[in-house]
Amino acid sequence: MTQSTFRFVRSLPIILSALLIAGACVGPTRVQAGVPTHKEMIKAAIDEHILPRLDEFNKSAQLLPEAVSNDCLNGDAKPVQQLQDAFADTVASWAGVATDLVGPARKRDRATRIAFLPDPRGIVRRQMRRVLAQQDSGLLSAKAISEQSVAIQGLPALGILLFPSRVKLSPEQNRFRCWLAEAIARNISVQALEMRKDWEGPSGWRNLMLSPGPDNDLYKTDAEAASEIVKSYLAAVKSIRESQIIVWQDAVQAGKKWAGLPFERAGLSKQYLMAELASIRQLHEVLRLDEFVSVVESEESGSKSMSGWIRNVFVSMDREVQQVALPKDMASAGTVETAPLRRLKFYTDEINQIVGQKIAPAAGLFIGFNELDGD
Amino acid sequence: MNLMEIDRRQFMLLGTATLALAPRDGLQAGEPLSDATFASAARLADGRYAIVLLSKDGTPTRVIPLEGRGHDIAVSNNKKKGIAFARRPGRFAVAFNLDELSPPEIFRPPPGRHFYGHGVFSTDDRFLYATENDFENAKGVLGIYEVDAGFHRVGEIQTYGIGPHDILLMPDGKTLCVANGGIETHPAAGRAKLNISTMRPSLVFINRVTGDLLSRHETSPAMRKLSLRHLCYDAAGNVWFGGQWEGSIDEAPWLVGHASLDKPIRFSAAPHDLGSALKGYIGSVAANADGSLVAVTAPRAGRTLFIDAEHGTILKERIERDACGVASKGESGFALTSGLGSFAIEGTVESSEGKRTIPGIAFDNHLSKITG
Repeated sequence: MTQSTFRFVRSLPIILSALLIAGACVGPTRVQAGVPTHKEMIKAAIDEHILPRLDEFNKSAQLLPEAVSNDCLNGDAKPVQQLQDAFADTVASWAGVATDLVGPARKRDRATRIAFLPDPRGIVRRQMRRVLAQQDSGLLSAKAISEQSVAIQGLPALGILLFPSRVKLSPEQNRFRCWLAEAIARNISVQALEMRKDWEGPSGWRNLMLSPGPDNDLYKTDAEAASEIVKSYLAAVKSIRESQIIVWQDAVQAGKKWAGLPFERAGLSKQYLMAELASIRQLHEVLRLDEFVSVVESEESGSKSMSGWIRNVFVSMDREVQQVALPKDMASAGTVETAPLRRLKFYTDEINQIVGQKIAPAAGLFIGFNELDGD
Repeated sequence: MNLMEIDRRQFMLLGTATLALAPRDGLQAGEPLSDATFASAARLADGRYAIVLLSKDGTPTRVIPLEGRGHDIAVSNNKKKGIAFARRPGRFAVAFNLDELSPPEIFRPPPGRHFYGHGVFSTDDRFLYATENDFENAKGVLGIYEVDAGFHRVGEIQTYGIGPHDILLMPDGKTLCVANGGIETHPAAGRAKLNISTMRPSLVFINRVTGDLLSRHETSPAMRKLSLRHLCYDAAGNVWFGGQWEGSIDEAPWLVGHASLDKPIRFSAAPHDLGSALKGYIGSVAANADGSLVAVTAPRAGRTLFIDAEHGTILKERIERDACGVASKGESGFALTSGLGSFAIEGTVESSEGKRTIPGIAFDNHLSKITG
């Protein structure tokens, strides 16, 4: 078989051609003894990473409406803190899902509904300002919220309500704020539940990814499904670099108090970034990507240092992110410290290059130059 | 199959020589150049980005460095200039002479704008129109650059939509057709897509002199997540587009259709599940020389389809990993490039006419025809 074989397709043998390309692309399923098969990679990614992370998020999301209902209107410090902690837990658990936007997370804009991110133009803030000014009681249900702009449906909007500015609200305004928060929290819980359900059952996404073949419209081979997971990993790393680390660094260098980072007003940007990086690290580990480094090293004489580098990079990133401070804190302290962010920028770029251009091909996974995020 | 490989060292030597504009192998600065038939942006083996000019059989003849990843290359009608545009959200364009060896010229959009990767010359080659993002206002614009004035930006016109991507000058020389992809982006968020749930892509026809909107076609509400991106026109003057689906991949519709100034968008015939099978993404679109065939590449699926422009039916397909760049070749065929460094000729006959691979090079999304 050659890749340049011409075939008339007046009758469109689509399934056959897809199998041909898949076969041509990926080579053997097991690249080298000892390394995981594509099937093992998919199964581990779903069962040891994606679904547990989704379960964690779903659990937090289901608790959130009750927490809002119980504590939002209570003016005492302790309930407010409890509610803010519950919100922080949900944000952190969402970070574990946001790094694997495969399948159900992309259906019906769920990921965007849950977290309208990134938001460089401050659309969430502007829309929430309008909603709070209008005080439309017709919005105070999960269903009504789900029919509004996605910018006001999710965690960033809820964060604005639960971490209000110091402007004194009237009792009526405060009640509306809390009722709206509860409606948004309920919408988030519905989205989380639906996302989880779509992984289950014979027609669920888990089965779809684990049962490739001619009758599967999306995945003809294990390699295709495994490639999709690795692509989502690479897309997450790229997104973190471009829409958080670089944005953060630019803001600090410019002496700005606010960078437009995720959950910045709630003071959770750093925790969110840490949770994302931890999630990526876990996915990297369950995919056993490091085991393919020896394949790369056996093929490339100049790549002997790769195993050490890849082993340490997540530890290094964890160390760097610990040292990062929010722009407002740096501005208040009159400090400008960008070195950890510069290093994080470097590490994330290197991860993308090494995993995308070296490890994935060594694993028999194809990440095309022209296909990663389209244009 | 005629498979030829270019030695990587030879290719890098060619690159190094032309990057520095150093005389080599009898090539002197200012000397007329010939044999450049195609041009493509690319990533070189050492990770740098460049423009690569290719002969008719895919032999690299010149390498021009870029400061970042390029996208498409616009070629002037007199075949004397090429312009490589930065990939979104880049802010550089590199003009280079095709008829003589001279240093390339870099120009940039003004603050508050970035390029979207595509542009087109006016018929007289006096002006260049580039698709740009007015990102603080989330509006698409066409930057107008005066070619012989050092690419001085003389104005802009709106594209009546968000996220303009590919652009065509129609055969009348007055009408520009722009694919407004509908996707809002902002450089502060890298390449993140900010408005997927509300996107409204469109195909617009604009008077290039007055900037007036002549017609605007949208897809149906059910198809609003199909970002219209790449364009070509056929023998009848119909504009063909290839899109990328921004919804869930299992819901991807067919991705290819056509419209004209006075005819709304219609999708060509295709099996119902082909959109998903193509992974929801068309990377490039090109018509052959007589406009009877339209080629669309689907690099995520490794498939290129050839469509009868008159009847809208798929005539044949080619299977090749990451094949994306496509341009007309000869009277009725196509040339194709891939992210794996391949250059192939595709005729209208049933067998391949040849393919070569340049090790280490990754050709970017688009292949532009200069001559031939």
